[in-house]
Amino acid sequence: MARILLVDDDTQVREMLKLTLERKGHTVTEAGDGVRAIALFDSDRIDLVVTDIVMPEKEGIETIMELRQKDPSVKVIAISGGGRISPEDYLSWARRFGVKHTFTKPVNRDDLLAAIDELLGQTA
Amino acid sequence: MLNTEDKEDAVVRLLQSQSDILHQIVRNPDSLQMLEEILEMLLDQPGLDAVWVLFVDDADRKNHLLVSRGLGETLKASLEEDDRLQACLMGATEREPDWDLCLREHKAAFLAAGLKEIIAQPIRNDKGLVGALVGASRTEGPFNPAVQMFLEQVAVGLGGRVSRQRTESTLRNTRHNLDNLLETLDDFIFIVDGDGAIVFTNAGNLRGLGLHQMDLPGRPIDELLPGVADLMGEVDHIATVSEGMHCFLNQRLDLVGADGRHTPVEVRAYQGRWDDSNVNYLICRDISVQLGTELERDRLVKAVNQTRDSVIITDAEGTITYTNPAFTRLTGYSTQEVVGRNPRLLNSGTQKVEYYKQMWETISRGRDWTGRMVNRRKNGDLFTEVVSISPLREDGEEITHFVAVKRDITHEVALEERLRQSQKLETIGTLTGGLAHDFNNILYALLGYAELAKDDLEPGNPAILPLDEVIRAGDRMSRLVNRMLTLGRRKSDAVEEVRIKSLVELNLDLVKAALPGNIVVETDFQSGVGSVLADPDCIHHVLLNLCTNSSEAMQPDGGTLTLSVDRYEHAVSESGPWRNLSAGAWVRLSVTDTGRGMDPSVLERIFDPYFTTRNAEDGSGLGLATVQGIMESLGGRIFASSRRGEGATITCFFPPADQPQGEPARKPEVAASKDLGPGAGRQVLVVDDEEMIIGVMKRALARSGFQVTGLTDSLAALDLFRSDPHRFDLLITDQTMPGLSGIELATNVSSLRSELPIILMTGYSGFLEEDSARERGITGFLPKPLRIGQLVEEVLTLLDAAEK
Repeated sequence: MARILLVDDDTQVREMLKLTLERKGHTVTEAGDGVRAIALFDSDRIDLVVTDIVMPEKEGIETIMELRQKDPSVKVIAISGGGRISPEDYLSWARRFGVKHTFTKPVNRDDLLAAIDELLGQTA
Repeated sequence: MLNTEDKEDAVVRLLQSQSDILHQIVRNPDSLQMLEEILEMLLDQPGLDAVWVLFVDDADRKNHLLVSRGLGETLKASLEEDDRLQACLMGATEREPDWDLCLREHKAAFLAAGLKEIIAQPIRNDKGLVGALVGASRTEGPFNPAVQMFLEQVAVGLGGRVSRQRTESTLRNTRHNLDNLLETLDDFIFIVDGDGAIVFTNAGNLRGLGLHQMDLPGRPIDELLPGVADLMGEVDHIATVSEGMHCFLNQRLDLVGADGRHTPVEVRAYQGRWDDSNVNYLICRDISVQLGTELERDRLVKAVNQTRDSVIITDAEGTITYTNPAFTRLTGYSTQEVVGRNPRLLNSGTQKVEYYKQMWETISRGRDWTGRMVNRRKNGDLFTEVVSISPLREDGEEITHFVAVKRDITHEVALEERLRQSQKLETIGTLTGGLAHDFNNILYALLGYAELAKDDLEPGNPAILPLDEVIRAGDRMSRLVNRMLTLGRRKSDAVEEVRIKSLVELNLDLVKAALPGNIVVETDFQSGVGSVLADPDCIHHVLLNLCTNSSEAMQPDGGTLTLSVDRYEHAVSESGPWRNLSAGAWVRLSVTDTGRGMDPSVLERIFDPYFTTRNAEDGSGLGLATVQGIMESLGGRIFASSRRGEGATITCFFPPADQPQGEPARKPEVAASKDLGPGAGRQVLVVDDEEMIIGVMKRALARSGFQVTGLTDSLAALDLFRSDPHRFDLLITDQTMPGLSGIELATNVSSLRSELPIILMTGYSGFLEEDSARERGITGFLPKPLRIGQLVEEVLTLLDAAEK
């Protein structure tokens, strides 16, 4: 199973996702913003990142750009509930940065788990 | 007794006196002076010591002592006041029977004055006895017969003189009365002889014209009233043919004053007689005031006829008596159709009966009423107007009419509605945008935990059903949030053919309303500029942004903002301010201000997002960047020119959607240059899920001679390419699309034909390393939002490189 970095500023969403992923046997590292996520990415060996887009301190797009600079092969899944613009618009930015799997909140659990499996399976 | 010498002397004196007296009677024009002279001479006659004249006054039929000589004060007073004595003396002249008796009664008075004998002679004229000439002597005894005769002759002479004098005085009075009358007249009267010379005029009123009555007689009338000769000639002619029938002619002429000033007069010419000659009577009436009133009235009528507001006048009962042309233009009803009818024929049924009732109550009470009404045209269309009704009163008393002035505000109402709608949507967008983030997070937590709870339950557990319902409700909520988000976002596919001049004109009022009062807006709109393809909201946005910017550059002093729209033909060879503007026809919109202007360093950056010269709180700095974005999305261009202190001009070029009406087809040499443009004979495939972007790019590339195929479906594009891999010389693809993304399409196409130049359109150029892009066959990038100039440039560069 994989070590997943979970980045979301909404604690309840983070807790719920952590529980979901742990039940599938993954190890989950949590971050409430992009700055904390970058730091954890450096210290921990992370296989996959699930990140929200609209966050304080450092938002998702910027976080993805930085992660990609550190590791061009980093696997990222972006999720968004929107903000000033629609979630789809935010996620289209993420796709322009090579994020293949994007989901609008609330995310269908099966879709999310399938995307994780697909990304992890590629390396396997 | 008198001796012979004395007698001869007396006769000579008598003869001389007679001659002198007759001379006086005939020649002296002053009657009183004449009488006094005569009495003086009579006293010279022997035996006459006192003489006097009594006259009967016509007015009171009483006798008056007119003149006297040789009477003492007492007797003179008696003669002046004693009616009976006077009557007695008068009677004496008629030899009335009681004369002696009467005299005897008064004898004491005469004796007291030393007068012993009295002789009286009657003075008569054609009407009878008018007075008496009385003489008296201090000597007792009968009067000398010669003296008696002399007195009698003088009395007869005086009678004749009195007759003549009365006639003269009557005439003099009549003449005097006429003069007075003529002087009080406001009309100018000229009597003109057969030679056209003035014989008489009542010049009293002519002084204002610098003319003097005395100078006028003898002067030719044509100098004062040019053109009057013809009028007089006509009158004479008519008088001749009508055998002297009384007739006149009227004509409007100018009366020329001494200073050359013209006074308009209405001249009435008659033929008449004056001093036994044929003359013309000219009666002239000053009509300058009347003409002024007529001009004023003409102007008012013109104003009402030409105003853009429609005007209805009704009588007190509300029956239409007048409508102006603007009313006909607005409603479709002609004046003839509505006169005699009630304005309720426009009633659309939109307003309630109470509304009209309240209106009638207000105006019937003599007050003005203003309100908004939705009415119906003759063709059935509805329109909105602002109506202002005022009562008209005759002499400030009864209301006789109502006048309604109405302005069509249908367009304004539509614009207001549009603005309100877009503001509402914007509010919803902002609101839902802010809410959506939280909503979706909460929903996600809710749904996620529900799923987790479900996991813990054995299949068949009754709690699974309610948890599924929670999940279903969450999904519904999520869809609702997304629908609200879509509603809040402005659609970008509202592109239509827009007559830009009309649209700018339509928006002008809103623009003016948005600007401060110290900005004067001037317009210069060429006619027949044609249409452009655009979203009308976008043009409104462009206009408002440019005008607001210009207005701010003119604060705090204000200035003039000039809006102009015209059609502009650009030749590529043309050196000038429009760098890289494609050749051909453009619809040009310029906004020029007289504000503080810009330095070149500022001018360079004004289209950069977040660049602003204002304070942070005044603006976001997005204005001109947004405008540029809009212009480029329409396939247009925007330029700024300015110098510090000399104002600024922002010029927008829109690609025309059509040829302007009435304009011949494009000039042959331009058409040729288009046909033989750099892209001639080359085929380009454009793939973008936004139809509008394809439209814009098609037009931009076609302008340079390319043949362009556009597709919104990336999978269909790949199929088309597969069917004929060598059909296209170049592929331009958007990155973010449903189906295949731009990179995926590029990878596929490139595997079929590796040398094909492929351009990827994307908002972020940095996300693909150049090498990794090359691997996928991508040879160029175009940033979004799209810049047309850059598009053509990039396409040509890549094609040139590919050919090498």
